[in-house]
Amino acid sequence: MTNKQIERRFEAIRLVASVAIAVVLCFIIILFISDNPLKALRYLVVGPFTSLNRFGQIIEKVQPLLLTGCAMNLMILAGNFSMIPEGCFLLAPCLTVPVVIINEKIFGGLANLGEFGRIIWVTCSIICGGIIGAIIGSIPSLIKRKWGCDEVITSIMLNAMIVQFDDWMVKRVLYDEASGLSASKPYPEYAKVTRLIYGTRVSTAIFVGLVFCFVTYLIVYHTKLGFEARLVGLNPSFAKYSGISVAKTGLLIAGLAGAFAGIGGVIHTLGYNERFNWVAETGFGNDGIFVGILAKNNPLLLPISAFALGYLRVGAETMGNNTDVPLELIQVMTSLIIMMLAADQLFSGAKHRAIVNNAKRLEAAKEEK
Amino acid sequence: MGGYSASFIFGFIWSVIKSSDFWAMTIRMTTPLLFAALGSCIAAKSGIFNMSIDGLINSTAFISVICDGFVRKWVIGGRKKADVGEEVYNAIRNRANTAGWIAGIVGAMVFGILLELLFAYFVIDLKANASLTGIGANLLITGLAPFLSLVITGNRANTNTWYDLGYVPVVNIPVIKDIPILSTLLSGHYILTYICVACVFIVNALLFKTAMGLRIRAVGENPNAAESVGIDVRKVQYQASLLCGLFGSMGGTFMSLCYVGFWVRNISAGRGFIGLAASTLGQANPIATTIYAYVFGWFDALGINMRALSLFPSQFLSMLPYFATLVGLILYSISLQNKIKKAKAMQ
Repeated sequence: MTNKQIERRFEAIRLVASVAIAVVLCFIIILFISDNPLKALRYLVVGPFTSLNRFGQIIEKVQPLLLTGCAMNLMILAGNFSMIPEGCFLLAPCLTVPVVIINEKIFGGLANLGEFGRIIWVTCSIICGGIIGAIIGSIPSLIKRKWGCDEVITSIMLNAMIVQFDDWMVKRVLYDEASGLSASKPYPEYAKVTRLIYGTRVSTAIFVGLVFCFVTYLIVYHTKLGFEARLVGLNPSFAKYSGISVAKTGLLIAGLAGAFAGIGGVIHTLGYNERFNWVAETGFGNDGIFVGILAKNNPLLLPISAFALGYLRVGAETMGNNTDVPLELIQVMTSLIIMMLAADQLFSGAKHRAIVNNAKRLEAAKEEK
Repeated sequence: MGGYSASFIFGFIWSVIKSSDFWAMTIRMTTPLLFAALGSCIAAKSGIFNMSIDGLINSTAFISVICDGFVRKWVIGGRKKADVGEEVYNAIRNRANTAGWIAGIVGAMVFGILLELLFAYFVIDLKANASLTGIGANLLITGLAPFLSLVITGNRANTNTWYDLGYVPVVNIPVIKDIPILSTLLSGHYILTYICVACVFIVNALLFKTAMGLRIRAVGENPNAAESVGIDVRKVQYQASLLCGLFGSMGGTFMSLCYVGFWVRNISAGRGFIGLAASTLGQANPIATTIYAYVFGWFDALGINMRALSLFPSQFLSMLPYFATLVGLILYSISLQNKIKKAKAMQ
């Protein structure tokens, strides 16, 4: 057994153990606070599969999570922990989607084209959302490249400003009195993404997400940029002395991630909402961290980790609605998993011993020969 | 602009700025920022980039309310106004309120220290990336606080139904309270505001006048060099994290017990990050950090005061402190770069 195999094995053990610790902790908390822990556990574990509606809710959550997961996965691989995908996710749809509501005369012609009009509109808004996302997403990294500011704080400040901007757009610019709430006018029928399952909001957005997961995989493992990004993420100094521009790679990755998050926002609101009504953080950008870090080195696993988070969230909602256990428990659990997966040295002692033992065994085998 | 002339707008801003209430508000609004900034100052001096400070404020704000509420209930002990008479009841109530806010501060400190030690364990012993762990810790708190709130008080968004307002005493300074302008400016603040100003000097003395401060600075400057002269780097960093939790937690207490009066979800509204930015700008020097924290607090207060004039949408005014922080960070980085360039040119 080579050292690489041992490392890979311990990487897997770390993943499984982190999830297991968090899940067990979660169960223990349920046992302590609930009057009827078995009922709570049943709702949490099998709840999401008890009806088509609930299963649909999982997929509804997976749709945006796939794209924000891609974005965060790229960011984490490149060692760039800017939180800006949340901001891109909010801002891109806010600037692209309402165009169709405001200029109904211009875009009304699309309605006559039927399905073709829908394809044109959705493709255009995806492209525009991607461009806006890329511009916003690269701002913190651009500041970092130009002036050397840490991108984490700048991105959080930008996110806070973007939330206020969205609030202003919805309440002052797009506001429609007929909606009764703070929301825009309803999207016209031709401007929405096709719904797939009647009675749920599962839409073709899921396929867009899956395609982008594959695109992320291609970028990470089959392009020069992806190779450079992985190298920068593993060891910035090594990358720098191998002639890779660390700041430029970070900038390109941030732009790509921002574009993915922006597309995620556009496709999510077109498939999920009837009107544009985002006035607070949706949380999908931050959930992307969990999805991205769980699928750490392999973007092809993103659908699985996104599904896992969607499943947990719907389970938690079912549990929260039917029992006395609050659904925020899942947030606690997922963030604990994020923290444990970020900890590189978890089980490092055991890994070290395994490598030493392995070396000793190899040595002994050599001597016997 | 919206029917207002430019001179009117500037006149309005000027009338806001010259009022002493505005400056008193600046001092009040800076308090949580300053606590957070001082906490991250100590952490930064020991070489830890403490992103979890915002979560620290959010969680300690909640813990203060819970400790306050429980201690108040415990001191009153089910006695009712009708049973003991109004005078006795009021005396007991006053005692309960005093015990309550002190318990709030102490409880928040204990929780803050525990949270920071957890963060430190991940960063120091498990070698986790500080940014990612900080983000994780903040997300943890955004889940944990509503979770505990629902379990304890039965409401996940705020503690209004369970708890009335915080009763942190307001201090009137004897002589100053009779001087016209200074009285609104310096007197009549919550006691935590004065503690906060005292903390600036305490932290300054701690970092620059004590052996522990020297060790913290040495570790932050160069851990390997510090280790070579026999300093236990790990221990010093844990000490710094503990102190960070101690000072930062009072910011949370101020937010819930004084500023808002109760706990609501996401009570910090990014104030922890603004404090962190202030400590970055002040290069983790407590005095310089304090100045930057007051600048950000000034923008915060300005944004709120400008709402009286319905010219700018309130959302854009809410952006003001974040925008100021962003611009401040950029300007700081530019000046730092120029300094490095100059130093290189000198060589």
